[in-house]
This record gives sequence, C-alpha cells and structure tokens, in this order.
Amino acid sequence: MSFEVRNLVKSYGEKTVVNGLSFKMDGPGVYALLGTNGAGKTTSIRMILGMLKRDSGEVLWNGAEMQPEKMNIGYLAEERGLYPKYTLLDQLLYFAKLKGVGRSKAMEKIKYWSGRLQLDEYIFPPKNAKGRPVKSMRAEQLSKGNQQKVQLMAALLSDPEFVILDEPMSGLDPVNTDLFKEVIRDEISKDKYVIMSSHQMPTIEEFCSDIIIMNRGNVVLQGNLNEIKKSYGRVNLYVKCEQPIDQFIEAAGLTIIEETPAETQLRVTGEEQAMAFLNTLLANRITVIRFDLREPSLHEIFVEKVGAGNEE
Amino acid sequence: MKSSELRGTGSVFRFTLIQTVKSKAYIVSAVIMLVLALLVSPVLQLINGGSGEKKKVKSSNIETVYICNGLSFLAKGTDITDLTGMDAFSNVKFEDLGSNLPENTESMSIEEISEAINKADREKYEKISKELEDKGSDCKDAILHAYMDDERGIVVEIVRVAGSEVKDDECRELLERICENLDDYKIKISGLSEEELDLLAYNYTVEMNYLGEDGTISAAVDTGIGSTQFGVAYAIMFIVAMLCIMSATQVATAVVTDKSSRVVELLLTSVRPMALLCGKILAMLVATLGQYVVLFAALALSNKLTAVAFGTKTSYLSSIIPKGVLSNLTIGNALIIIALVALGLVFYAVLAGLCGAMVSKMEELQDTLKYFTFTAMIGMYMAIFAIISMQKSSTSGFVRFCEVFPLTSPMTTPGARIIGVVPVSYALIAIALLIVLDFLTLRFAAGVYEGLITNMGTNLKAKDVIAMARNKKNKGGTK
Repeated sequence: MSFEVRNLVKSYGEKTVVNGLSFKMDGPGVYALLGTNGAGKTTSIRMILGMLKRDSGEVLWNGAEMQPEKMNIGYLAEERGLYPKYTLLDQLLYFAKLKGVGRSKAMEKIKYWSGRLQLDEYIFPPKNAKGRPVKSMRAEQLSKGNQQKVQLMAALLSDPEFVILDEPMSGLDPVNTDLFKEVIRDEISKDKYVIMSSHQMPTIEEFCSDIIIMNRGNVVLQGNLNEIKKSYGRVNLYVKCEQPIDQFIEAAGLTIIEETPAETQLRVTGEEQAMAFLNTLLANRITVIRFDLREPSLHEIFVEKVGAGNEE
Repeated sequence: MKSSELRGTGSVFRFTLIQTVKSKAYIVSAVIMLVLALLVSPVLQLINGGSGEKKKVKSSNIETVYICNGLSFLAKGTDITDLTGMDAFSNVKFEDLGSNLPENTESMSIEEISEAINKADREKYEKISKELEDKGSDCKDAILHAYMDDERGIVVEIVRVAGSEVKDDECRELLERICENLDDYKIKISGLSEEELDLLAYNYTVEMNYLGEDGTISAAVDTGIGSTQFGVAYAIMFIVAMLCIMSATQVATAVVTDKSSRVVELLLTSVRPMALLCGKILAMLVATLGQYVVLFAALALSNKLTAVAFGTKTSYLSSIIPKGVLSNLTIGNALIIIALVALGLVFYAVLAGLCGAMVSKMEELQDTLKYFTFTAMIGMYMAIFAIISMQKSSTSGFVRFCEVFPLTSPMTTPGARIIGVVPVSYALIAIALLIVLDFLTLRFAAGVYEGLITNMGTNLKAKDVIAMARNKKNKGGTK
C-alpha cells in the first residue's frame, strides 16, 4: 500500500495557502508536517481528508484517488471538539457508528480505550450509593486534558489504517504526554500510516522518519530526517572547559551559537576544524570537561529554514 | 449531488433525533405543550358552563318587569310575556308601560310616526329607569326594553339595577323565552307557517354562470370564503408557519453546535457535509412533528375525556369546531397536503442550515438567521394576506399566485385545499415548483455548505456565500 500527495495547491483569492505540496509514503511509517502557525499544515490535512476542495493536485491511496469517507481514517484535529451537552458514551458510539463499527464492537473498543486512557470513571461511572447505575458524564464535565483523551479515543476507536494527528500533544501535562506517546508508539508499531503535525520538535524527532517543513504555504525542506541531518554534517560543537576559552575560539575563527554556564555551543565547518580546535585547547593545557560534536537538531534546522523563508 | 454525498445520513439522523428528544429543552417544551393540550378542553368546559348544558333557573328573584315597548307592532297587543311552563317565573309581574303610538296617525307621515314613537319610548324608558335607580340595589324589578336599531335590527334588552339580586341566568332565560314568543308572534301576524318563515330567513348566494357547449356550467362569480373557512385556512397556515420556523431554527442551532463544539472536523472524516445537513434536517423535522403529534393527540384525548367527565355528548371544544371542516380531507388531498408541508419544511430548514453554517459560535447565530427570518416573514405575511383576500375572492390573481409561489404555498395551499377553494391542478403546480426550489436550494447548499462548515474564521455574509458558489462554478474545484 502507498499514500501519495501530488502537487497540492489551495488559494483563497490572491493568497496561496498551500503551494505544490508533494510527498509519498511507500509503506507504513510516520510523516511529519512542520511549520509555523499559518504555514498551511492544517489546510493541507483538510485537503487530504477531503474536507476542503483543492484547487489542484492529487491525493492517492494505492495509486487511486483517495476517498476518505470510504476509508478507515483516524483524525485528531487541531481544533479539538466534543459535543459538550451529550454523554461521552453516546457520542463515542456515534463516532464509531459513522466509521461503520457496530454497537457491540464499539462498546468493546470503548471499554478497552477507556481503561487504557484512564477514563473509566467518566465513561462508565460506578453505581451510586443506592446501587443505581450512573449515566456516562457529559463532555463539559471533563477537564481539557481528559477531553483530549476522549478525542484521541474517538480517532482510534475504529482501529484506523491511516491516522492523522494534528498537534496531538499540545496542552497536555507531562503524565498525559507520556500516555499519548505510548499510545502513538503502539499505533506506529501496528504498521499504520501516520501523518503527524506538531510544533514540539523533540516529539517529531522521537516518532517521525520523514519530515516536511512548510513556510507560508511553500515546502522549504522535505525528506528523511536522518538524511537531512547528515546532509548538514556534524557542525554543532558543545564544549565545556575549566578555564576560559574565549581567546582560543576567537583565534580559531569559530562562531558562538549559544553560551550557557553549562556549556558553549559553537558552529564548526566539520570534524577537521573541531579536531584542530581540540588540539589547540589541549596544547594550551586547558582542562576539557565536555567536547561533543553533533548534527544540528530538528529545532535548529526548522528555525534556520523557516527563519530564512520569513526573511525573504 | 452524488448519492455518495448522502452516505451516513441515517446515522446522523438517528443520533441527532435521539439527542434532541433526550434534551431538557425538548422534554420541557413537549411537557408544557402536553399539559396545555390536556387542560384546554376541561378548562374551556368549566369556563363555559360546566356540563355543557344551560342551567335552568329554579326560582326567579324578579318581582316586576316593566315593558318599555319601542316597537310599534308590539303595541297592538302581543303574548310575548307568556311564560307558560316556566314555573320559576310564575310570580313575575309584567307591567306594560303602554303604547308609544301617537294618536291621529292618519294625518302623520311615516317619519313623523317613527319620531313620535322614539320620543315616547325614550321618555318612558328614562322615567322608569330613574325610578328603579332610586330604589337602589334592593330593587328586584327589571325593565324589558324592546326597540328598533338601524344596525342591529330588533333589540330586546333587560335592564336591572347594578348589584341587585336579579341574576344573569334568569335574565338570559327570560330573554330567550321572550325572543321565542316574538318569533311566534311574527309567524302569527305574518300568516305564514314556521317553515315558510324559515324560508324567508335564508340568505342568498348569487351566481352568474355560463352554460358551455358541452353542457358544463362555469364562471361562478361569488368565490369569497366564509368566516368558518377563513378560520380553518388561517389556523392551518399558522400551524405550518410555526412548524417551519421551529424546525428550521432547530436545524440552524444543530449546525452551529457542530461548528462551535468543533466536532465537525471529526465528523467530516466519515460523512460528507451534505449527509450532515440532510441528517440534521430530517431529525429536526421529525422531532418538531413529533411535538405536534403529541399536542394534537393530547388535545383529542382531553376532548374525549372531558366529554365523558362532564357527562355530555361532545365537549365545548368540539362544539365550537365547525362541523364538516375536514370533509375535503380525502386520502388524495392528505397526500397533497403532506407533500406541500414537507417540501416547504425542507426548503426553510435548508435555508436555516445555511445560515447556521455561516457562523462559528452560537451567540453569532442571530446575525445570519436574519436571512432565514426575512424569507420566512415574507412567506408568512403573504400567506396571511392571501387568506384574508380569500374572503373577498378565492380566485383572485394574488390568491392564485400565493397558492403556487414556493415561499407561500406550504402555508396557503394546504388550508385552501381543505376548504376546497384551490383546484388540484394548482396544488400540483405548487408541489412541482417546491420540488424545483428544494432541488435548487439543496444544490446550492451542496456547493457552499462544505466551504461554510469548515470555515471557523469570521462570520460570512450573504455576498460571501454567493461568491463562494460562483467561484466553485467557475473554478470547478477538485474534491
């Protein structure tokens, strides 16, 4: 199976909000859509899902035009939503029914997910003091974090083959973030096609093999994350010494990226320059506590690409 | 619109209907309607005389009735005060204040005689009423005043002192008997039988018809409807208008709920926007119709129970509903009426749904609902004017226009069909036009609803929606 987006374009009047987005997933995996606010990520997702008409381009599933309403797609929207006045159980059964999941199967799934996401007390509250059954809570009675868990549950109830998670971790506390990560990791392990959009670069680095960085509707960088990093080379040098090293940095002509009490981050051209700098320090009897040459982080790549785009 | 766009309509319909019927607002309004419907019949019965039969006066408090006779023909001596068989009034004394006819009438003109009678009548009436007034509330006497009024004809009134012991019931019973006696007197002096006199009382309906070559009669002139028919047509118009407004605003609310709660994005991964809209429209129509069915069923039940409880053949409510009102309600007409109402409801509901889709928050709904309200008001007022016009002529151009015009036909034509003033051909044209309008509205909605439902930004104006439709037509976007 394969999923492919070809030259997706969307304009509102004179403004082009998505300009030629293309990418392909030849097999299961996680593709990340990155970009600043207003970069066109959500518009792209809505076009992929058929919610928005596209001006041009194609969305293909196994080489044929994708028909989202006929597929089993799980979607956690950036704009979180539940019916505030309806009970959680009613609306979860409704969402499952729309996905073609029968009532008994849906109940089974709801019970599984409510246990896993620690929502039992809200969806299946215990009987009251008089031994009478208590109705499932309404969405408005839940905290924002718990509502988010119910939404994740709604997205995954039908065991979708294709999952789109738009900012899945935003607004979650650390405990629930770990819970979400665990669930997402499980979904990935089931060989699903996952598209994830997030501002949290460590999360993307943790889950995604391929990325697209969008800026103002344009794709500014795309490809395999490891290869992208490799192409940048190991140019980030993290140094910590017992003595001041400013004079040596200046002499070597290195650029200071960031200086903190813990370490100094320098930009080098490559391993040779880094080794030459290390030799200089050692020759001058400087005690080196840390000397770490790394590829740039996704955060740095993102800031570089999007920053450059914004300056244009 | 492709059939795949409607996939999932059933699920949306069931969920929306169940949640609407379970909602507190629906239950409370249904209970209020139910209680009112159950109470209306017994309350009307109690207000209008309990058992539904008139109470008979057991004994009258009246001592003397002074007959102040302003009618010249009664001056010849009548038996209008004959109360044979009315034991309760056996002790009442009648005192005729004498004739008002002037002497020497032969030398007077009719106008002079009439003037003289009126003058004498006024003088006697003023004198006797002054005497009664002076007696105060202890006075148990009354005046029977009969006179001719240009507008009202023969007026027979009983006048008594305010606060006296002479009660309404006995006055009413006495007046009824006196009127019966007057009728007998009219029969007597006319020399006609009762049937012949009834014949005189009939009204005429004037028609000028043409006899066609094939022997058919055509072109009736007087086509105005009576007050009963007007009442029926107006009541049906009002019920349909209320149905349209109630169900349509509920559709708009349901659409905004999806948007304001941000659920719509999740729903749209499984169903197309048109399926969402159609499911909601059907659910709200059924929910609103359900309330009306409960209302009328409760009314009918209450009516039956009231008649049983009060020991009468029919309740007061039944007695005020004209007989034969539904005689035109054949199966064919019922189907025509159902089609008209259903198509009208769909049109107004789609319009309200579009209004709902133009905003993202419930508090903004009023801003766009004005488009629906404006259209519905035009339809409703035109329907009202059409029904009023029917009193003059049910075949006028305006009435015929309103009977087929899609904004007004759902409100005008069902009633007109029941009272039998609209030909079946016009009703069928109205249905055809409504089908076309509903198709065009749904097609327009299908074109713009997708853009509207996913718009979470600023409120859209009507011109934005039209531009959206045009843009789609010109650019032909890809799904």
